[in-house]
Amino acid sequence: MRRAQPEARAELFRRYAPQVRKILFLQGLCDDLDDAVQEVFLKVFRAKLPREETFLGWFYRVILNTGRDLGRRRKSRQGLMHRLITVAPPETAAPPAHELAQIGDPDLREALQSLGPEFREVVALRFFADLSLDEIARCLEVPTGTVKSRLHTAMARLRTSLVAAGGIL
Amino acid sequence: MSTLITSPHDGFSDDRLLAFALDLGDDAELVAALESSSLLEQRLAQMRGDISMVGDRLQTAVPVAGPDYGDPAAARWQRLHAFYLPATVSSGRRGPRRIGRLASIAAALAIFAVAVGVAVQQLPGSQSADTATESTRSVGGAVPAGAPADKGTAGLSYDGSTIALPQAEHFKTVVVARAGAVVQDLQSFAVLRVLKGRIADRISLVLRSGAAALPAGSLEVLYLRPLYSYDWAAEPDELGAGNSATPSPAGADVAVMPMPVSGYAMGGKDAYVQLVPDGVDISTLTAP
Repeated sequence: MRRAQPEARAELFRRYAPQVRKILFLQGLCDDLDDAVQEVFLKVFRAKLPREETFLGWFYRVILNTGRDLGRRRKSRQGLMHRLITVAPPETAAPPAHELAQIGDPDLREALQSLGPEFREVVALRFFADLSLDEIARCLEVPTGTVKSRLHTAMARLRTSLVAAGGIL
Repeated sequence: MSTLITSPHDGFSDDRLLAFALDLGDDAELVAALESSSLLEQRLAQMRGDISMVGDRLQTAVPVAGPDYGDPAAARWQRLHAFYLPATVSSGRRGPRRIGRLASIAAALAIFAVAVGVAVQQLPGSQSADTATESTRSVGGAVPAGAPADKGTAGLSYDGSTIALPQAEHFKTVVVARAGAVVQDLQSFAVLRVLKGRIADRISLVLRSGAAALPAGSLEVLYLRPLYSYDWAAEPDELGAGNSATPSPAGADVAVMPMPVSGYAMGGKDAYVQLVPDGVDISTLTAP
């Protein structure tokens, strides 16, 4: 069994917490971001660690899977709230916030909202984790060709949207 | 402002330039054309600039984190502290109740050790008490000759990297948790590690009538959901010796795990708690 020592855990946290936060944010976990980051590291610290050469791929999979799980829970909660509001509407009923609602840049927010989560994950791993195409493929457990396709589609849409909005100077 | 050249006359679409700029694959034809077309070169440079700007916009879209964000000791990461910070002394940790509890545990251990020693010495052809105590330990994976193979009598064992809790086999769920607040007869616990079974991250145990609550902040192994009616005290041979102490790596300080004690219930069944002493890395605790 392999488990990280306390100092190694602290160092892992120091090095990756900001990056984990960004990836989770792009997955749509704008609310409770700290809780989500904490959840990721709880899973990592509790887990039996894989071999060193496969650690990073495993680590990013934990991040992505945690983000997906929390995203599903969030949607489930929102669905429940929506049904409750439908049954008994409060006086000031606010529509459920979109998962990317906290992105202040409206053009970028709109562009990202047009992308499915699988596209945003590729973008996050490319731009926030600076992973190669092969590394992204291993993290997502998909062929490299799929990663290329998703990245191309995502970047084409983002670029087109931002240029059309006059956002790229 | 960047302009999209949607109808290029050079035969290379934006999609193709984008794929090349993203390093998605080789494109020998495009490389050759770039050598002879400054306009194409300009378009590629513009495409790379656009990609760079998209990346910048993504980076700035994420709200800025505070300066202590990457500090593992920051208060906001309290749930992680048990995994890398030395155990902290809570306000109630050295209180009279805590001291009383430790004194009770020490007294119980002393009485039990004497009882085991006497019992072993009275057995015909038995080992000495010292040897018997040693047989409950399995350091570095070495099992003393003649030691019973039954893991129930092996007690807490140290195999070089782990401290096994053989008692866990009698329970469906075993976790390491930090004691929280007491509200009426319920004490909350934040689960830090699940050694066996499945359970929520936060649980509450019912405090039995007359039992003292654990100090908030103390780190405990919780033995939950007994597989059958289980009386810890009734089986000293199996559990007592093993719980009296567990050795650390050779030459290191001995980490003493006190006996589990009852006083709590979950789902109507007894729950046992066992203090994790300072200095014991909870990641080394394992359940069969």
